[in-house]
Amino acid sequence: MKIAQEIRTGNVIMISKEPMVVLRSEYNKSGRNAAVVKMKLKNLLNNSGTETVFKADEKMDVLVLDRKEVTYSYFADPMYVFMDEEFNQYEVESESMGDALHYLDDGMPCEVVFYNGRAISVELPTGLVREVAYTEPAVRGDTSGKVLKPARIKPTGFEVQVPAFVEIGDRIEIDTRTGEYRNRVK
Amino acid sequence: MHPVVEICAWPCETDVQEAVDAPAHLIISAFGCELPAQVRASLAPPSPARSEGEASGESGDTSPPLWIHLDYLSAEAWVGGFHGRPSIKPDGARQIFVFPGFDAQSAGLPGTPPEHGPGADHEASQSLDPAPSGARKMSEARPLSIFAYAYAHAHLGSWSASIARAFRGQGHTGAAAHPTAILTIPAAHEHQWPSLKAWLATESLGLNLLAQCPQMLWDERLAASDLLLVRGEDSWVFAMRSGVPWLWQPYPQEPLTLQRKLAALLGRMEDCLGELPGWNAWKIALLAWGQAQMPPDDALEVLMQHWPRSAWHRLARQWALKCNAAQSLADGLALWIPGQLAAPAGARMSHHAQPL
Repeated sequence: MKIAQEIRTGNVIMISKEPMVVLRSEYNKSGRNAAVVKMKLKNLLNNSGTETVFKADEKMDVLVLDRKEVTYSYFADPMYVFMDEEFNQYEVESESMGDALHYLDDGMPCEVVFYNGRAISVELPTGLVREVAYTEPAVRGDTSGKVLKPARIKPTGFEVQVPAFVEIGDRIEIDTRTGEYRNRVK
Repeated sequence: MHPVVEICAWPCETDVQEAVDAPAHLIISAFGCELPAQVRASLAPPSPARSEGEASGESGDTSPPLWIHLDYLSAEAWVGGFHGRPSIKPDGARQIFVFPGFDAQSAGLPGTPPEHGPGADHEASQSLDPAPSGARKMSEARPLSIFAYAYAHAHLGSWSASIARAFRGQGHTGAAAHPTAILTIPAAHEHQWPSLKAWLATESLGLNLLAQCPQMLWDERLAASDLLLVRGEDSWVFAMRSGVPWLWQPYPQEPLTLQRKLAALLGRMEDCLGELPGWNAWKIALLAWGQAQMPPDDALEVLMQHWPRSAWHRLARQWALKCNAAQSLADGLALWIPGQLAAPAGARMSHHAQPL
């Protein structure tokens, strides 16, 4: 059993006795330290999709599936191709990539997850370091009251909210479960 | 009370079986609350065997209650994407998440417009009146009335002193032997600020301790105050709807989360108030109070200028008009729930299918 906030993109959970792969997971703090998680799920039995919300501490069954450590290799529309140490290739459908697309980079290490011998999803490390491609510079004496600002990361251009002191070229660690800034990496 | 909602007491623990045997049509789990285990278990869909029996006419209505999770109010944009989504539990029970909020993608703003507040029917005009509602008439002798319902980490003494100095700076000197301002706090909160009395003494401020009281009396005290320093949700919503100048302190949580919640509120307020005089000063004060920082004296001086015909009053009134014009949470639920109850359980979805 895991709680909802521990469920990551690529995990397969049992809902009403049906296996559902998590295509996307969005975590937000609601109030008084409570949190909620929205998941985009695909039913592995009939391929139907749904979007559901859970309290972050709700318990759920996670299927233990086969997985392989791989690195991202290339995109062959509509499949993303990954390779393991023995140069075996595994293809994952675009729609099953989920949030991994936000951080995709050549040679990125991750895990491919299999269900009944089929590669169904990709799991990322919980933290990834990416370089800031663009963000507005902080203005000395700025009293606008803004506490966070958007920053686009390399190479995908995905936007992350960062503190005002982060600059172009900085390397930042991102929590891939929430898409949130963690810290600046020296 | 809402005109179509009757409020009854939840069955006490010994009556839980009653709630299982004669289930309600609608169950609302408010934030932070858990249903009694027996009630929760009864929400799972019937087993196939039981369903077949019921389908053959052995039993009556088989639809499980409509089960709603009602979450906290937040100004953040993600609320719209979460609101109205179903949540299917491992046992097949189905819940729908309802998120209050500030825009049409949410379930609406909690609370109701105050009877005599901005936007109420009695108000002939919604223009920016030079003496807006929310601005109580003040003689020079009457002390400023500050109501503070705050978390312990707020620098309440320092803020009260700064506000009183800015108030005096506008020529409100008070009558002889009377304080410039009177701070009201719940009596139960007095221990939160051991040095509060010393702070108040330095600026000749009075302290009024409010004993525990019914909600109606509590709201009356808020409405009768000149300035509201509020926290959490209920008092915050009341302050926003009242037109009385206010500052809000979110629930204490990790700094980035708190900053996001503040920034989201300020963003929405800026869309409404950004062009009006004094907005920047209010924003600075909201940020400082919300993050339990020391008072920004310059901003408070701007906000207290021309009190009680201040820019702060005009801003608070304008924001209250916007809040009071929006659909309330109770009205939205009262419209949405009957349609959901009429739908088969499996088809109960979100407001995206049936606007809330």
